[in-house]
Amino acid sequence: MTNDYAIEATDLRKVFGDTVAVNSLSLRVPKGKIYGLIGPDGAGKSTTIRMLATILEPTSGDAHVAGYSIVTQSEAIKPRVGYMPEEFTLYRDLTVMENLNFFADLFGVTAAKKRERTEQLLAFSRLQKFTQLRAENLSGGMKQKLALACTLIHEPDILFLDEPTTGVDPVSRRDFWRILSDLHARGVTMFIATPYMDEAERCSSVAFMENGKIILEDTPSRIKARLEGGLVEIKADPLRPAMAMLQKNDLVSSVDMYGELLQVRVDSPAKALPELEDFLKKNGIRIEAINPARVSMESAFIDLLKTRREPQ
Amino acid sequence: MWQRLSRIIKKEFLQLRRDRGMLPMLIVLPIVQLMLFGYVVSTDVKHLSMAGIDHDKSAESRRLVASFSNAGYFDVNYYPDNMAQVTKLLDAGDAIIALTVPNGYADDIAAGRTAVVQIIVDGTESNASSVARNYATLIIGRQSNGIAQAKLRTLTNLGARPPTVDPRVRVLFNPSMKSVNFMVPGLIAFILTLSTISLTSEAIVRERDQGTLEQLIVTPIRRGELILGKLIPYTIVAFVQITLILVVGVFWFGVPFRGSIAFLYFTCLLYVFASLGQGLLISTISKTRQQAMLTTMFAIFPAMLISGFVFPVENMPKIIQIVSYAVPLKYFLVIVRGIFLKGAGWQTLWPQMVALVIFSAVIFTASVTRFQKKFSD
Repeated sequence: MTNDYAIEATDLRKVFGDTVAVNSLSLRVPKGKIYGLIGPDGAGKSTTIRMLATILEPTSGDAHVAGYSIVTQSEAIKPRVGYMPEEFTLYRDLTVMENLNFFADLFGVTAAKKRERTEQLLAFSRLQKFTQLRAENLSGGMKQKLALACTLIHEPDILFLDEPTTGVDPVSRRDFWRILSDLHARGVTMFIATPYMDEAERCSSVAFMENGKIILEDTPSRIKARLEGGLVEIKADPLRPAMAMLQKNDLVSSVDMYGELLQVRVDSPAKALPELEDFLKKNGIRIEAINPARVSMESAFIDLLKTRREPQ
Repeated sequence: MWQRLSRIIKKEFLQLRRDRGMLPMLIVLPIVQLMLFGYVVSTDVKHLSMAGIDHDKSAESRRLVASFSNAGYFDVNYYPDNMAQVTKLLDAGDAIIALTVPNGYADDIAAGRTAVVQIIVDGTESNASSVARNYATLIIGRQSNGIAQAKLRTLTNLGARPPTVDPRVRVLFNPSMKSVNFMVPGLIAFILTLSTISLTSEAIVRERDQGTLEQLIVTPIRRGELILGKLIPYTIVAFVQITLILVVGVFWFGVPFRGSIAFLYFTCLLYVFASLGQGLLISTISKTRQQAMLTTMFAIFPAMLISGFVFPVENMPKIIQIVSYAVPLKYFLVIVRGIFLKGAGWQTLWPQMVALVIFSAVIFTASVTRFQKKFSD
C-alpha cells in the first residue's frame, strides 16, 4: 500500500460475542520504528497484536503489514514477520536446538543460513550451554529468550511482541532489550505491547490503549511533556500527616505515596520546593529529603488514566 | 514444501518418543487386547457342566447319558437323585444344563412308545444356554434316530438299512468354528480404529491446547502440509500395529491366513485413511484435549457395537442396520475377515473398498475445510 509504513491499520475492529475488544482502531508504524502499546489489562492490546500478526481474523476493517492486507494476503505476510506471544508457546517437550531447527525449517531457512543464524541467536541469547535442554526445563527468562530466538530465525522485517518480558528477571530483561536494540539498529520494525513504563520509554512512539481504542499516541518525551508542571519528591516523618497537609496546600495539585516517598505534583518545582519545605517544617514535620524529580512514564500514564476517568 | 512436511513428521515422532509411556502403550496395547479377545471373548461352547438324573438305571438310559459326555460339549459332573438337588446345582451355577431320564425309559423304547426325557437349561447366560440347548437336542435326536433304525431293522427283518436322510454339514472358511479365527481379523480392524482415531484426534487439539498452534499459524506452513505431517506418522504407527497383530494372530493363535498380504495392507491403508479422517475431524471441532478424548470415546463405542465386530449386524433392528452403513468399521470388518478366512480378493470385496474410499473423501474434505489457518475467536 505504501512504502513508508511497515504497519498501517484502518478501522480495525474485533468483537467477541457481546464484547468489543478492539474498536475502530487505526494506526501507522513507520518502517524501522519501535512502536509501544500500553494500557490496562483488557484494553485490547493482545487482540490488536494477534490481528496484525495474522492469527486472528478481524471482524471488520483491515490492516496492511509489510504492504500486504491481513485479510486477503495473510500468507504473504507470514515470512516477513515474527510473533512472540505473552505465554510460552514453543514445544515444551523439544530441546532448545530442536525448537530452533523446527521453526527454521518451517520458514524455509537454508541449511547454511540456519547454522549461521542458530549460532548467532544462541550467542545473543546466551543459550549456547542449554541447547540439549528441553524447553520445559528452562527458566522464565531463558524461555522468553528462546521464544525470541525462534521468532528471529528467519530474519523478519517486522516483529510483534506481546508483553515479552512479563515475569522475567531484570538481568534477562536487560539481555532481551540488548537484542531488541540491536535489531532496531538493523532496521527491524517492532510492535510491542508492554506493561512496563521503562520499556515504553525506549519506544520511538507510544500509544495508550483503553477499551479497545487508542486514546493517545505520541513520542515518550512529548507524552511526558504533556503533563503540566513537575514533581517534587519528599521523604518526611511522620508520613501520613505530611501527606494530608500537603493535599490541603494551594501550590499542590496532587500527592501520591510510593512507599516512604511522597510524589507531589506542583506547577513549578523550583518555586514550590522551598515553600513546601517551610510549610512542612512549620507544621512540625521532619523532612529527611526533598528533591525535584523527573516525570516518569508511569506517572504520565496514571495521570492520563485519572483525567480520563474523572468526569469533567 | 518437503522441508516443512518432513520437519513436521520428524517433530511428531520426537514428541511421540518423548511422551513417556506413549510408545510402549502403542505396542503393548494391541498385544494385550489381542490376548484378551483371543482368550476371554470366546463364543465357543465346550465342556459345559452338566447334571444327569437317571431314574431308569437301565443300559438304555446309561447309554443316553454317556452320549452327552462323549460328544465333548458336556461334562457330566453330577449325578443327583432328585429335582431339588438339580435346582440347587443350577442355582449355584455348578451345572448349566440338566438331563432327567424318567423311570420306564427303557421299557417305553422296548415297547415302541415315545420315551420322554427332560432337559433343563440355565437361561441366564443366553448365549451359552442356547448353544447348549441346540447341542442337547442334536445329541438326543441322533440317539433317537439310532434307536428307531435298530427297531426298524428288527421289525422288518430285511437285514438291509431302511432309507434315511443323513445331513453332512461342512463348515467352510472356519471349519473348526473357533471364535478366535473370527476375532483376530476383527481385532486388526478394531485396534486400528482405536489407535488411529484417538491419536489423530489428539494431534491438532494438542497444538491448540499448548498454544503452539498459534506459533504454527504465523509460519508459512500450508494447511495440507500440517495435516499430512500429522497423519503420516500415525499411519506408520498403525501399520506397525497391524503387523504386530498379524504376527501374533497367525503364529500364536494359529489363525489361518488365506489371502494376500499385499492386498490386506492395501485395504488397511484405505481404512486408515477413513479413520484418520474421523480423528482429524474430531480434532478440528474440539477446543480442548478432554473434549477430543470424550468425543473419540463416543465415536468408537457405538461403532464397535453396531459394526458387527462382536455381534452379527443381521440380528440388529432394522434402524440400527441402516445406521451401520455409516460406520466404516463395518466395511473393513467384511474386508479383513474375507481376506483372512476366505482368501477373498478385490473381485469380491470391491463394494466395501469403494464405500471406504467414499467415506474417506467425505470426511477429509469436511475436516480440511473446517481446519482454518486462522482463529476467529
